[in-house]
Amino acid sequence: MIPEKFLDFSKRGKVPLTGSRAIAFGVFLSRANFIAAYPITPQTEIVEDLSQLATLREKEMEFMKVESEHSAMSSCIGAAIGGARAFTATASQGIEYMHEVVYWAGGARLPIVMAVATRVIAPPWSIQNEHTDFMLQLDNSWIQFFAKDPQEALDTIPIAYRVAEEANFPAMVGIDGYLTTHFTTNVDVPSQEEIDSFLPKKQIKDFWPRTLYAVVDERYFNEHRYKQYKAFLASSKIIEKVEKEYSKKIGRSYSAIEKFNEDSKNLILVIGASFGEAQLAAEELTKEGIKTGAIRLRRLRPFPEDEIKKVSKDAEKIIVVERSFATGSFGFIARELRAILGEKVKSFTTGLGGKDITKETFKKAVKLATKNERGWIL
Amino acid sequence: MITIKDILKEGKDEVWLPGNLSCPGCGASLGLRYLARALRNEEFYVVIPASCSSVIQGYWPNSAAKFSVINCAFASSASVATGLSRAFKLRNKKAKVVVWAGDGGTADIGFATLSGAAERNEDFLYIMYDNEAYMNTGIQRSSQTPYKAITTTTPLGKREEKKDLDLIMMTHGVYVATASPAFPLDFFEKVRKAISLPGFKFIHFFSPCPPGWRYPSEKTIEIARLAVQTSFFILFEFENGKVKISQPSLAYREEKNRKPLEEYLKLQGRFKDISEEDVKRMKEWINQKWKTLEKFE
Repeated sequence: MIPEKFLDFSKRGKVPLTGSRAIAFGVFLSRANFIAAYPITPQTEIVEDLSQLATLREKEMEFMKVESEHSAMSSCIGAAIGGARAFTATASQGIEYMHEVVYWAGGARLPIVMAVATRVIAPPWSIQNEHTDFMLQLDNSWIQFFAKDPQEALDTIPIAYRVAEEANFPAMVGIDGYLTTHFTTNVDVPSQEEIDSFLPKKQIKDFWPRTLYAVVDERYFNEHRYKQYKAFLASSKIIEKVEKEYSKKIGRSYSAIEKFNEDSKNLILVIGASFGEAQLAAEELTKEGIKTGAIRLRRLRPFPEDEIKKVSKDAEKIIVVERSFATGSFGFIARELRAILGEKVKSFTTGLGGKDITKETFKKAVKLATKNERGWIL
Repeated sequence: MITIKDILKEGKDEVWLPGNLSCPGCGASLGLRYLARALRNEEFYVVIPASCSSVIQGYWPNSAAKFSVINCAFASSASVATGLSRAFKLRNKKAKVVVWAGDGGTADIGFATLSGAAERNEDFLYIMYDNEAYMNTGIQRSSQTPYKAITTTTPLGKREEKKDLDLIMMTHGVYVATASPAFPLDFFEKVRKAISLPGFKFIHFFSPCPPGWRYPSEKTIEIARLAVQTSFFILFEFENGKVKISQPSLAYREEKNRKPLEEYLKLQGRFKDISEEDVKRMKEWINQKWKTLEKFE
């Protein structure tokens, strides 16, 4: 239960929140009015908190307990078509089970927001943290953010809604299972008034009588997808504009990548909560004479190609440390980076099944990369 | 009782347009035509999962529907309808939501979703148009395919009985009705009644399919009528825990009053190899169906 004293949204203030609760607060402040809930560890607290928050807005918020994740996303699709601001949260097997309709939401260009509390996909069974579930969603026409801590998780939800509704694409917000979902920090919670001034009411487009998502034959299909692709890439500009406005209205700035000593010849690249450890590793390595910086990829889709190119222009090695399991040539993000930057990208896999990623892990990876090696840190 | 005159008074134009992409004699297209006419005074939104109806409505940018259609993934229709009807409720929008799904999309792949929506008593009308197989992919058996019917995946005839979806839906405690294209006024009344009730409503619409059942396309209504006259398909309503046999089926409660089942079977190529023993078993199945319904009267 959320303590009563945290439920005053009329004033801005610092509140100790877990990452899950921060997401729930972000969703409530964004005035999402259709929540589809299905339990899966480690996202369950998000929907539990939302069930409590929904009681504060009884007639203005539908909290729907569905019978599967497939139905959670399907009902978000129906609700978004019907004019509601829809939200759901999931992880792991859940997102795999709903995958078909995740793709549908992207193709239908519906501004749904979904939080993913990352977790291993079985087998073997494990409920621990891993980013594979999030990474498998990279090419579904969803805008994808990955937050590093509860504060950023909260802030990213209203940003995601604003972007989704302006760009007409759904948006996914990832946070690390346990490391962020179950980790409590003081979070500066904006007031309802502040968020309202940033995120306007959803524009409702009525469609009577219209047919949606009918069969498109081969004369038009390719062109249809091309338009979708162009629009998706163009959403980068909307995201940058919206992030600037969030900074102006709320006072916290976010961008596609976060940088630390980025003018170093070795650059560690990470996603999510491990960024702090990566920074510590970079500092120690630099002291030892191996000049190292770190960057965190906050936005995965649309992929911030230009920003990455710019920041890594003078780097000799890009050490990509990924907490996800890919059986292709390299890690999910390393593939992308190799396509842009070539051989200087070194791919490392580690941290699977909740294994800690510490500064030592990063230091090992950097040292291997300087010897032109890549692979696993066990 | 509604009459043809009443219906024509509401407008002679069609709400579901002719010249659509259905096969000649398609039961589903007839069903959509009656459904659209029954709801012509409403703002109504029809959710259609993958099925023949995804095709027969027409290819973009054409559409046979003069109402709103939301196409959706196979197993998702009851949930898409749930989201839509709840969003309309939030906006106080007076619109009706209807699912129009095939038997595969309802009784097989969409079954968990259907049951979930019925259990939560979501506010929409779900219509299963039952052509007793996966017809859009080329006649593969479903749980609604009857015993001994030949499909492309049951070349020797189906070994199992048709799953009693009506009974399963009845145990959810919701409004359930069956309807047939041979009795359009009965279907009209059931649609209008169902749409006026709050909560979840389920209609099972019998939908003969000329290429799938292997009969000449002009015989759709004859076959649909024979299905009722032989009690192969019984028309009834289930409301507040009670079954009420509908007028067209009332005369066939006693086996001696029914037309011989053979008359229904022999018109269809899918039953061409049926044995006397099989026919006996099917007649027994019909008697059982009556007994089950009578328990709820």
